[in-house]
Amino acid sequence: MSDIMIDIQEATMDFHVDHENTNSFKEFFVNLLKGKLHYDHFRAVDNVSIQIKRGEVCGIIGRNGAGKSTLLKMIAGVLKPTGGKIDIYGNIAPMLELGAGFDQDLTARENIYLNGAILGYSKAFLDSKFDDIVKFSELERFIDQPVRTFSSGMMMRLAFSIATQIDPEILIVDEILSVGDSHFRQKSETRMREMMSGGTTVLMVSHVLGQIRSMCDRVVWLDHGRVVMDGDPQMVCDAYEGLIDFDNAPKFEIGCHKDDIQRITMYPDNWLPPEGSYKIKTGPMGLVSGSLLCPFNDLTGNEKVRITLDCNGDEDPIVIAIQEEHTSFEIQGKPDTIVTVYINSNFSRSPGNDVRKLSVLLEDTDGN
Amino acid sequence: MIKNSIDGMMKYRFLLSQLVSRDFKTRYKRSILGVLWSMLNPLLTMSVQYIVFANIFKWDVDNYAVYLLIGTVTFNFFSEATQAALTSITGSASLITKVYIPTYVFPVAKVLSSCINLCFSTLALYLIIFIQGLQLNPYHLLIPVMYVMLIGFAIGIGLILSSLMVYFRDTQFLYGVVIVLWMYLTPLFYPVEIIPAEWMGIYSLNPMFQYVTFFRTLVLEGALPSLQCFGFCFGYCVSFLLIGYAVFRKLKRNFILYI
Repeated sequence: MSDIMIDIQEATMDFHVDHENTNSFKEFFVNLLKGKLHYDHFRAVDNVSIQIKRGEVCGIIGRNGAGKSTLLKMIAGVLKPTGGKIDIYGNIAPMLELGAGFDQDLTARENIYLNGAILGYSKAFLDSKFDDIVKFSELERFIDQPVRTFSSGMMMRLAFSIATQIDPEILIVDEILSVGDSHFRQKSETRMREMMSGGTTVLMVSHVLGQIRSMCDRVVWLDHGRVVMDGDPQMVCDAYEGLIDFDNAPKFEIGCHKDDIQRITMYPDNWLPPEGSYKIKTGPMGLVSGSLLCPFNDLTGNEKVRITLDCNGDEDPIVIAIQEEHTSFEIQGKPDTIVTVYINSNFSRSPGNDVRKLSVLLEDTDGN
Repeated sequence: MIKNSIDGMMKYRFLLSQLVSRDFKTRYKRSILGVLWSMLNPLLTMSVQYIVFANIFKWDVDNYAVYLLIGTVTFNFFSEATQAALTSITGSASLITKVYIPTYVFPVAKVLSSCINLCFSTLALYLIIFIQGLQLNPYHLLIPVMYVMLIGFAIGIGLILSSLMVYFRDTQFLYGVVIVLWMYLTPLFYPVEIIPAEWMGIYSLNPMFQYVTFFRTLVLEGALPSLQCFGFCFGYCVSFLLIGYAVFRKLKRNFILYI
């Protein structure tokens, strides 16, 4: 069985936008007579291709109107793409907007069954999950009360419990974790993690980037219906929040002579610290040195950086020094030969929820 | 195609039953008399009409109370079912835009919910039949057959109305007028005899007239309805189910863009 759960292939969604909202017979016929029944096109999702694997937790971010909801609707099967294809391998449970699947006058018990039925589950299945749902929601005492008497937090707990306790293969979460007290929020995050490790694929849309950073292992940034960035949550979120100035994006440079400088600009697809191997021609002295240049100017001094070097050439160059903080180094090689430098770098800044990757700048110090 | 729909029906049977029981549970939830209203409503309407028409117009119809109540029960069911179905799609917009559910479930559920009411009104009808001392006869067993055809017809109309409603919100106001006109054009409280003979041809095209006649023939005359009457009832049921299905199928594609 394939590991891809959601396969979006060049999906496009066009909407007709009426010039005037033709929502009544009169307007319809008037417009028909005037011959004005033509529409404008509006492309909400534009040629998006995303493959989401089993167990992946994918966040979708973007401004209002970026096409997030349209994309979710297409994945949920509510909207058919006007172009491209979307294949879903597994059953989907969308977590409904607060109370959307609830009837205010029914009790919580009745609503669990109603909601479960809406999500396409059978009575026998819901019977078997009923206790888990009630237990997780912590609403045992109120289970036979009409939902109308519930607070929004209680309703959200019920909705969350239903969507997560039925163990769907794909869970769609649209801005729901933002409600509820911190105790339940923590509990639901734990449950989400549990589901993720259990192989549930989660798709979440949120404007709370903290949540996206802490829960997702992949983030897609949509803008005007297109994918701007797709990848590591920290990187994409940073970019989205404008923390990284693309125009002044740091460049990784390595080399000995000015005309021999190799430049790797991290914009935006390989927005990663420069790891890998770089070929450098050594100068007459055979020296190569490098150091890190940080694009952030609010460092605390507790940051950790590590560079490991591995060089080869005709004759193995000697690593002269890696400084204590591992932020700069020098290599002694044979003059005028090609050496390959292998770099591994990582950089973590104020450990916790605000981890950023840093780029490395290797400077030509030959002759100094 | 139709087989697929029936398979879907089986799969979503539980959802359908949940939606119907939801409607039933919430309908009288906060009223004191509760479900009794399902019986009281047709009885009270019938009483008012009885007082007005039997005393003021002095129509000479045998068992006028039963005559009247059969018309009221039949037409009330139809009008309630179709009007509930009418707003069923637009009213479930928040769900339809989030979860994939075959949308026909909503109008069908509304019509089926009204069936519960129909059962209670039928009980009320039998109460009056007993009070009036009307003889029961074996033809009463055919009432469910007539009900099934009526429900089929109501589902067909409900599918058409609910899908039109998505595109034109005027439908509900327009239909509100149509249903009143329809009610007056159906001999519910006036005797069939007052219709001029030359109009009878057009009159008998009215589906509700046929369903009411079918019902009355069984109960009041204790006879089998004419083959023509049965043909009309059956024909309207099947053809409107098919038309409703076709219209709904064609229109449902863009529902989400308009609700």
